[in-house]
Formats: sequence, C-alpha cells, structure tokens
Amino acid sequence: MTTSDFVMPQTADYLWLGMGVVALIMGVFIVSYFIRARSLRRDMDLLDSLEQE
Amino acid sequence: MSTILSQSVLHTPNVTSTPAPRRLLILTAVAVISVLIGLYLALVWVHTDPDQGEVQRLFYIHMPSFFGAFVGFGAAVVGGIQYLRTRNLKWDTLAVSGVEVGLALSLVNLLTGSIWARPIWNTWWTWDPRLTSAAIMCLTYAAYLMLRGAMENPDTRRRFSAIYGILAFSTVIFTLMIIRIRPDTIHPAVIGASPQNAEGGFEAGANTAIALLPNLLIWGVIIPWVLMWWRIRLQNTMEKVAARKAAIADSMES
Repeated sequence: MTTSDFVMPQTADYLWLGMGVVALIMGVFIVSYFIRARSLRRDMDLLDSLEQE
Repeated sequence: MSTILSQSVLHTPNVTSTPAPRRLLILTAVAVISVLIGLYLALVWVHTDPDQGEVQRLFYIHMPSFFGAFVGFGAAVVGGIQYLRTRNLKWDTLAVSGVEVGLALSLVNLLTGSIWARPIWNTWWTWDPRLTSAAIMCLTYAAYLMLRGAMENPDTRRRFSAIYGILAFSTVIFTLMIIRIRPDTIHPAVIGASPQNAEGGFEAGANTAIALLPNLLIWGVIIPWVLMWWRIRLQNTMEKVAARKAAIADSMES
C-alpha cells in the first residue's frame, strides 16, 4: 500500500455527535440552574407576602 | 484547600438577594472565553489523527472532563470531612455542589467515550473494566443526589451525604486505577504504557500536548470551579428558603 492509497477514516459525524452531547449535558445543567433560581425567587416573593400578612 | 474555600467561594451570599460578585462574573467570562479557545485547539488547530480520523478530537474533552469530575467529587470529600468535623452548613453546601458538577462532567466523559468507541471499537458500549467502573461511578453519584433528595430530616441528610460522599470517592479512585491493575482492559492509557489489549491508542506528539494541556486546565479546573461557585450560591438560597418556610410553618402551628 502506498501513501496515495491511504484513506483516512470518515468519522466526522461521530465527532459532531459527541460535541452535540457535550453541549446538551452542559446546557441542561446550566438551564436547570436558572430554572431553580427562578423558582426560588418566586418562593422568596411568596414568603415575603406571607410574612407581611 | 479548605481554608481557601472557606475564605472565598463558600462565603458567597445567596443567589436571589444579592447580585453575583465581580470575581464570579469575571471567572465566568474567563471560563466562556477559555472554552472557546479550548474548542479551537481541539477542533481546528490540532492535526487530524490519520488512523482514527476526526473523532479522535473528542479525546481533548473526554479526558479533561474526567479530571473535572475528579475535582467535583474531590470537593465532596473535602466538604464531607469538614462537615463531619465542624457541622458547619457551608461544607455540606460545598459537597452537594461538587457532586452535581462532578456528575455532569462524568456524564460528558462517559458519553464522549461511548461515541468515540462506536467507530473505533465498533460498538457503543462494552463491559470493559474501565467502562464498567466509570458507569458505576456515575450511578453511585446519581444515587447520592436521589437519596439526599429523599431525606426529610436536614441533619440526617447532611450527615448521610457527608459519609456517602467520602465513601463514594473510592469509585473515582477505582476508575482511575483500573487500567493499571486489570491487564484485560481495552481502554488505552494516555499517561504511561497502555495495557496489552488496548485498542484505539494514538501517537501523542507535541501538538497533542499543546491542545491537551489547556483543555485539562479548562475542563479540569476552570469549569468545575465556576460551576460549583454558581451552584453554591443556589444551594445557599435553597437553605435560606427552607429555613424561612420552616419558621413560617412553626409560627402558624403556634
């Protein structure tokens, strides 16, 4: 086999699948933080109104 | 380490009442920029591996994310030991934050490995010692979060979490060491000689090191640090809300 016969494996699809999964996991983690923070902010507001009553 | 944490990150106020400190915002900006630089090095700058093709580039996230998980789970050990010693709530906060961040990064590690394995090993998954131990590690820490969430009594929850977090770290050590003690694994080693049956190793040249070392710093130090800091702020708010709810419930009963 000569150098010109060498064919590099076509694995780019798996690379982009992997990058997508990384983005998904980190994205879910960061979005869950914002959702939980927003939920806690609502709880705080509710507790404030309860304490005022 | 515990002194440094005690003086900086753990004294972060809760997330709703005060804006994020300037240092945290700067660190977050540094993390975002450094991730982009790390991706450039991994996806563009470093040469394509001639034997594996483009998928080998996943290695530059796969391996560093394990070290990020190591830092997160390590923080849970520090937090657990310090909580059992002092019963100070801030150490429990550090521990649960470390576990959550560590679990996210260990999932990144596990899934990028599985996707890399499909074209290289011709399978998404095999019950190889390294893969099995990594899966057990993830499940152990997922169970930590589920069991912690199921416990009503705060003192019992914190004490249980501290002990569990310390013991669970054995799965991290085991995952790290297993390719040195089980010669039948097919998982290649990056540092030192690979096991005899290893499949999918590659020639690590100077370019590999230049792309790998910044990504080790980014995924192994900066990302866990910034994510844990934000998570600690969230946990402080959770504790504050829980305390206020309990106080209101007590006043309504009496």
